[in-house]
Amino acid sequence: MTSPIIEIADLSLSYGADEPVLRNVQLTLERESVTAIIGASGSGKSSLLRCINRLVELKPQVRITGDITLDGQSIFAPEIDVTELRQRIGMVFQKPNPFPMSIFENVAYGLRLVGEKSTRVIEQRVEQSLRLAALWDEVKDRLDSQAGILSGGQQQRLVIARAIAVEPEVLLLDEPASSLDPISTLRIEELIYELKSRYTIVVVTHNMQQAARVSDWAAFMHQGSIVEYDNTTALFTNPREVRTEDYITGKFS
Amino acid sequence: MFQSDQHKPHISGQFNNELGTLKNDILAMGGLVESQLSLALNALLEKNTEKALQVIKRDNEVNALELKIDQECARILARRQPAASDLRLVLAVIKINMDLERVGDEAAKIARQAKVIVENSLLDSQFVNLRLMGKQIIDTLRLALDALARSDAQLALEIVAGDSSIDAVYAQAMEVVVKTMRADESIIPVMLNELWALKALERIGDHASNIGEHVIYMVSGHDVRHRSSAEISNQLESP
Ligand SMILES: Nc1ncnc2c1ncn2[C@@H]1O[C@H](COP(=O)(O)OP(=O)(O)O)[C@@H](O)[C@H]1O
Ligand SMILES: [Mg+2]
Repeated sequence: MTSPIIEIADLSLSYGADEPVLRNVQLTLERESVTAIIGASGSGKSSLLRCINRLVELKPQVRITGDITLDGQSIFAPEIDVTELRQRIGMVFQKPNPFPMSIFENVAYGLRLVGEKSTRVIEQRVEQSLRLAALWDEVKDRLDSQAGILSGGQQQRLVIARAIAVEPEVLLLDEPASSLDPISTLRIEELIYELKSRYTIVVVTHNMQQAARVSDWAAFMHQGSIVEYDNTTALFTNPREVRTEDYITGKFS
Repeated sequence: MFQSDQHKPHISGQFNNELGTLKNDILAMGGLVESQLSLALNALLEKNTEKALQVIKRDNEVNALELKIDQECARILARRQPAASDLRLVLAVIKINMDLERVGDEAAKIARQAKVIVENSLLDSQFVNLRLMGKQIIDTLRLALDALARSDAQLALEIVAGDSSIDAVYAQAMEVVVKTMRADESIIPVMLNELWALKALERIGDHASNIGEHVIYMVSGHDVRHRSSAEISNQLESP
């Protein structure tokens, strides 16, 4: 690993009095690469992503210990502005969630939020983001239409365009293709491949073949712990841990 | 069945069955080829045309089984997208299958030579070197198949390491053959036959060694081709 952008050190999380949901997670994310997090439902994958951009609510009963650093700085430091943090670390969810506004305004939304006033800059950035998200050709003639008329796959790419419009450093994708048909899924996977030359991407997926296809690094989570973390080829051809082996080969464990 | 079958079963019983069939078939292929080789050697050493013809006839069975195993592998790769040890199993079977088919070819060649020798009632020879080397090669092939059946990387390593001693035996046998031909020109035709058969055995030794390498990969995930046996040993010890 040459240039880490995010380092997660001994991170534990509990939402309340119950068992902790994350246990001593150690993970170093390499810049401009794709890291996949795989694991059964409930193993804590989404919770981990939500920690990375501080989407986990800091309610009194929520306990987080350990640290996450972005470019060497703790994201939990008091001087961190959460809105700015989420601009640097964008997130896309399982179900496409376009805002009830036009295609154009969906992508422009984040730019306006961070105070961009120039119409020219906004137009440029919207086009650039839609192109990057491989959606431009499909929507360029109907930018003023409601986002809701797009197909599920198009909506997901629109949401990705919205996330990259504010030029984040990291993109967190939580099962970005699990509600999509196979062709739309391949488009998203292709997009992930295209985007990794500019962004650091973390993708949570319960589709193991998808993880094997899109990622450079892969982590297997089980009951809140990272069981194994390795380069994707090694993890999928020769895992070191029996629990990883059992999970990726689909065995009873 | 492979020893690794004591492992947990897959959630998909169908996938379990497919892998089970594949393992049975590659072991059956091994058994078939091994019996082809012993029969071919016996045909030559006993100058028995009957046995030689049997080997030549059964080569079709070897080829058919090779195709069947290939198709099973392709189907599993396409439909199951195997990972980890399942993936390594399929990859190893594809390669072992090729090596075994070649061993079958070499056995058939030996059988054809036996036939020629008998038909031309060439000079009597005791094939001393052939007898010695033949036994060693059959033992090695059998051990390689045992290593496969038992998923035994240690045994496989011994086979890979032993290949250089087979090469030495081969070189020595060649020397003897050449010396004999120099001493008595009239014996050259029959000695040429021995020489070809020795060459076939040497190639079979290489295939057995390849099978050993594939078993090591299947079990440990280490690709040990083009490495010395000392390096392999070190690799197997490191996690
Ligand atoms: N906001 C929350 N409050 C309380 N418990 C939660 C909350 N979010 C998730 N959990 C619990 O945390 C565990 C991990 O969930 P999650 O991170 O969503 O796992 P995954 O994404 O791997 O399916 C589950 O047991 C889930 O019920
Ligand atoms: Mg989740």
